Amino acid sequence: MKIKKIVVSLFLVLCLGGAIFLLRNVNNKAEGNGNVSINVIDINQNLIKSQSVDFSEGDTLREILSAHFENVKTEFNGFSYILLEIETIKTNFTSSYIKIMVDDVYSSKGIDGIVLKDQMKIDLIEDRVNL
Amino acid sequence: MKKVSDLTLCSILLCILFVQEQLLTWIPNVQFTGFLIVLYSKVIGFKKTFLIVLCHTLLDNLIMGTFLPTVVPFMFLGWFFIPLCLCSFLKRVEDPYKLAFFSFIQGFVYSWLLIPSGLLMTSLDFKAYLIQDIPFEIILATSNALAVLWLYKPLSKVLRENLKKHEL
Repeated sequence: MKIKKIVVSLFLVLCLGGAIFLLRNVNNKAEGNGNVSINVIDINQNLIKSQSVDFSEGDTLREILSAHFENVKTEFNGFSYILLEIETIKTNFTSSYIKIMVDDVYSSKGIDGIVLKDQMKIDLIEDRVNL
Repeated sequence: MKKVSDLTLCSILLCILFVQEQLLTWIPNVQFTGFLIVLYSKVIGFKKTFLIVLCHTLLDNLIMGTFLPTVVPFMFLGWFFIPLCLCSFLKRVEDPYKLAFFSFIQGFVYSWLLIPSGLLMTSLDFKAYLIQDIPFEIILATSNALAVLWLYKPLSKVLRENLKKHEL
C-alpha cells in the first residue's frame, strides 16, 4: 500500500516538475546579432519613447529593456518575469497591464518568452484589462 | 446555539482556506484550495461547504481585483464542482486514491471553466491560450492530487474527531 502511494506520488511529482520545468526554461536568448525597434505607448496612445536597440547573440528582451529604458520594473510571478512598469507607465497587472505587440501582432508570450530577432518591432502599450 | 456554532465553524474553515491561498499566490496554481474543499465536502457536508466556497470565491476576487461578472461565476462553478460531485454520486467514496484522481480531474475542469474569462481578458487566440495554459493546468491538477493523496486521511481524521469532541 505504501509502495503504491510512493509510486503514484512520484508520478505526480514528475508531472509537476515537468510542468514547472516547461514554464521556467523557455529559451528566450537571441540566436544572433541584430537590431530591434521598441516603442513605449501610454493608455492614450501617446508615444512615450521610441528606440532602436542593437542586440547580440544571447541577449534577452528583459536585459535590453533594463539597459535602454528608464524605470523598468519587472516581477517574478513564480515561473517567469512580467513587465509592470517602464518609463512613465505604471501598471498593477490586475486592472492594467502592458500589452506586448510583436510586429503588430498581439504577443502570446510575455517579456521572458520573446526571442529577439533582427528587424523585430516591439510595441509596449499600456492597456486596461479588457472586460 | 447550533446555528452560531455552525457559522463559527464555517468562518474558521473559510479563514484557513482563504489564508493558505493568499500565502501561496507567489507560486501560481500551487495551492491547497482543491484539497481543502474536498476535505470540507466530505467532513462537514454540502450546505456548509457551499457557503464556504461561495464566500471564498467572493473574497478571493475582491482581494485580487477580479470581482467581475466574467470571472466570479466561472470560478465559483470550478470550486463548486467539488462539493457537487462529492456530496452526490461520489458520496460514498473515501479512498484517498479515488479522491486524488477526482482532484486531478477537477484541476483541469477548473482551468477549462476559466478559459472564457481568460480569453476575454487577454484577447488571445483560443488555440494559443489553450496550449499555453496546459502547464498551469498540470500544476494545479497534480498539486491538488498530491495534497489529497497525502493529507486527506490524517486531516479528515483530525477534523472529524474535533467536530465530534465539540459536538458540531
